Amino acid sequence: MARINAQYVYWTERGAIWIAYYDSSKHGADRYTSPTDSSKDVHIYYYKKADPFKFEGQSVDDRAVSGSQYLGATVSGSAGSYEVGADFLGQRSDIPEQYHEYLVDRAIQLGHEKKAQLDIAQYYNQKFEKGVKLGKRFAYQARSGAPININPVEF
Amino acid sequence: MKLKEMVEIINQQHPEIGTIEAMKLLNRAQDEFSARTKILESADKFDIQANQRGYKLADHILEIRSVDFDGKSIKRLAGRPEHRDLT
Repeated sequence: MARINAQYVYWTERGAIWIAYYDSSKHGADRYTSPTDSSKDVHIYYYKKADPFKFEGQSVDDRAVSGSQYLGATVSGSAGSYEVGADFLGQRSDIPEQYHEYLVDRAIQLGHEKKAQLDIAQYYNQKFEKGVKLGKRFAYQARSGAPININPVEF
Repeated sequence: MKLKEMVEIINQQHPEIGTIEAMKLLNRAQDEFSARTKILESADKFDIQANQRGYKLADHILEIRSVDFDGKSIKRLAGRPEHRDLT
C-alpha cells in the first residue's frame, strides 16, 4: 500500500512565494490546495540585499527603520513616510564592518573604469573579489564554523 | 566605517566624484556584494489569507532559506505543481 504524504509545502515563482497543502492521495488539481485558515501565519527566513545608502530627504522602507534610525542616521516622519535626516553621511552599511573597505574598492574601481584607467581598475577589482571570497566564506559558515545545508524535496 | 569616511576615501582617488555619485557607486557595490556572498539574513512574517496561495515577495529578498507555516518548518517543493492555481 502506498504511503500517503500530506503536508504544507512552498515554492517560489514569478516573484512570489506560493504555499499549498500537498496530499499524495489526491489527484489532478486537488493534489495541491490553498490554505484556508486565516489564523495561521508564515515566517520566511531569507538572504537579503543590503539596505541602500539614502540621501537627505529620501524615503525609506518602514521595515528598515529601527529606533528612529536608518543605518545609523536619524529619520523623520512616521510609518509609511519616513525620510532620512541631515546626518545621512553617518549611515553605516548593514554589511559587516570588516567588508566595508571592499565596497569602497568597488566604487573606486568603477570610477577608474569610467575614466578608462583599466589597469588601475583591475587592481581594485582584484581587491573587491578578495572581499567577496572572504564574505562568502563568512556567510557559508554562518559565523559558527558549520556549513549551511538546505535540501529541496521532490514529491 | 561611516558613509562619510567611505566617500572621503573615494574622493582621494576621484576628487571629481560628488557625494551623491559616490553613494550610487557604493550602493552598486553593496548590491553586488550582498547578492554574491549571501552574507545578510533576515526574517519576515505575514498572515495567511484564506484561499490565497501566492504572496508577493519584497524587492530586498534575494533568496528564501526556509519557511515556517504556523510555527512549523515546511518543505520546499522542487519544481511546480502540475495544475497551477494563480490565487
